Amino acid sequence: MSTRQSFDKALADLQQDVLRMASVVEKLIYNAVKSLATQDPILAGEVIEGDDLVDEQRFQIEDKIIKIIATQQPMAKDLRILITGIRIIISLERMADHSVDIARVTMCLVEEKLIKPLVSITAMAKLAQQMVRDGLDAYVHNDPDKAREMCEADDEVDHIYHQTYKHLVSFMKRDPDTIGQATYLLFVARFLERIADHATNIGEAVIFQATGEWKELN
Amino acid sequence: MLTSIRQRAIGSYVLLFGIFILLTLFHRWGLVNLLTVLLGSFWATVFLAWLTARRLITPVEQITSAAQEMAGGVLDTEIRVQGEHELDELAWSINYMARQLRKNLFLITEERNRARAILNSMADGVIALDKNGRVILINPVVESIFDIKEECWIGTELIKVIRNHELEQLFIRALQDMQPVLNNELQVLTPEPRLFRVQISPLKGAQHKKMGVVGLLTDVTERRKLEQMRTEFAANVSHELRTPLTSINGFVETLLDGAMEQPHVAKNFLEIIHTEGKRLANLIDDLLKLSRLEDRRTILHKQPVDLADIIHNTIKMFEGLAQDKNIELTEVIPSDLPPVPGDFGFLSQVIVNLVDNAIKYTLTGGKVNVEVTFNQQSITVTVSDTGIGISEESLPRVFERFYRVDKARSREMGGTGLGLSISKHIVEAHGGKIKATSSQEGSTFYFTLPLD
Repeated sequence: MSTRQSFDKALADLQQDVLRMASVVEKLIYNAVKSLATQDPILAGEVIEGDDLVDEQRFQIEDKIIKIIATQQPMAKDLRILITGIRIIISLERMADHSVDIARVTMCLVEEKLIKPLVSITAMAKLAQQMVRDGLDAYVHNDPDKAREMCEADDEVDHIYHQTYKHLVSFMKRDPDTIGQATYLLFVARFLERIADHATNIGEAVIFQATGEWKELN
Repeated sequence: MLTSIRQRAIGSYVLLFGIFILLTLFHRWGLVNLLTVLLGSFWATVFLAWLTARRLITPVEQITSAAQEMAGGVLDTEIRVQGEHELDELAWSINYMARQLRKNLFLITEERNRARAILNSMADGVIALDKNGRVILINPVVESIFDIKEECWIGTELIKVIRNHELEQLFIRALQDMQPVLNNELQVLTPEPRLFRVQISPLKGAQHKKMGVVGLLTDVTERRKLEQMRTEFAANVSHELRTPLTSINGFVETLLDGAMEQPHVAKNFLEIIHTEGKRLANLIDDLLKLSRLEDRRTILHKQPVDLADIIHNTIKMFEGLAQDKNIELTEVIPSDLPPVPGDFGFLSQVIVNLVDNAIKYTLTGGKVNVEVTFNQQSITVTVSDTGIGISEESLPRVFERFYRVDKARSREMGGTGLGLSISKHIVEAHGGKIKATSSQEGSTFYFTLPLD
């Protein structure tokens, strides 16, 4: 195999590794919110453990990228692909951390009755998951338009976040007994909002990969 | 008549040699000069060469171009060559080969179409990978399960087409060990969360050569849900029946232990026993009603029903309760509402049920609104509240028997846990539909009844 061929293969492998990691993270987000909604401490435990796999994947991918940069000295587009890879895995790793944070909240609230069904929180989680998925779609197809489109969903997440904030504050005002739980739920909404922000970072990285320009999208 | 190419070639040489000898003799005898001999030989050679070329090269060219066409896929051309015997035979052989190819191609196409039709009409998903882990085949079911939009997935890695790490791991394991792999509960998140049973078997060629693996994906979401519903139903029925019984037993025991001697205590206890007894009777009534509705054994007494009437009555019935909770109870009914064919008693029950739920799950100071709209085909009744809402997971399940979004809270508020299930069956028995939506601002239940 010529040098260029093996280099191309390394880049393709890298893309697949990123997709694998994204699929694991997507599931962590889903399970974290599900564990909270169904008050399932076992599922929450799985999420907390699942983060180790994500960390491991992250370090492996990072190692690979560093090795490629050190041995091949890539230029232009090749370099952009590698930088994009690093950006995406860092965002994914942060998302996984936030999922663990949500699972920890589940653990804290297991004994309590939820003050309300988690309508908006599940809606936010669903949007955030879709954003991650669309971001990765844009990454696979190297499609900056799709990346921009996907980032628009972030506005909706922000909107639901603000609504949830108001709603939970009104709960706290009405009944001080709910303050403890409402604060936790507010944290969860915040974590999900951050997860969506990290998803827009993926979009930004994809645009950089395709065009070489950094654009703030949220 | 000379027909074979070899005979013709020998003939040409003999003829040429004869002409040459003749011209040489003529020259010797002084009939012609040397120049004529040379020119004569030259022209004779050119003429014979031209003749051979015409008879030999042209058919070869024809055969070549026809063979090229066949190679390009046009198999219905027939080569027609006249003249040389060997070329005739060659042309015939090529024609025969083309015919055989045509026949085999037809058989193969037929076979492939049949296989494809089977794959396309299967209810299960099929994924096949080659020995390097690249996709050979994905059937349309898999495309819709994973919302695959790419048209060209042949030869790509699985993770690029289906972004599910767990599924990929299963396939990798099967490929490495070349052993069957089974997973009963693979979770798929998008576009809708579903559960799949995955069965992967190795594909082995001649002499057990490793060819790849094929996986079968069966959707078990509904089955799991039904299993869960059945277990929950049995548990719920026993629980709902036991709760009033326990309290009746408890109070009777206390009465027997001596509480009977104190008349005011005894009266109080007997009242509680009476209430619990009624609750038990209600529950059993509801269960019977539900089972009759489910079996379609209940006969509806259909007559033109004025829904406005039912709604007025219902609102009057709940006014007191609403005032206690400071809930604003309103109705919006068009004045020209046509009567709907239905069973007055059953339809009243549906509306009472929905309004009762709406008031139960709305906090103090909220609003409950009953609205009727209609068009030429149907009437829609909408009951909306500003209550606590229903989470997305629970929303499709609220019409299930005994399903409670929040078990502790619902039981505190009374009710048998069968109200919405009964309502659903009543509306469906009328040929209508009932649905629920929910958001941050509250829940909305609406049902539609056909007008004819």
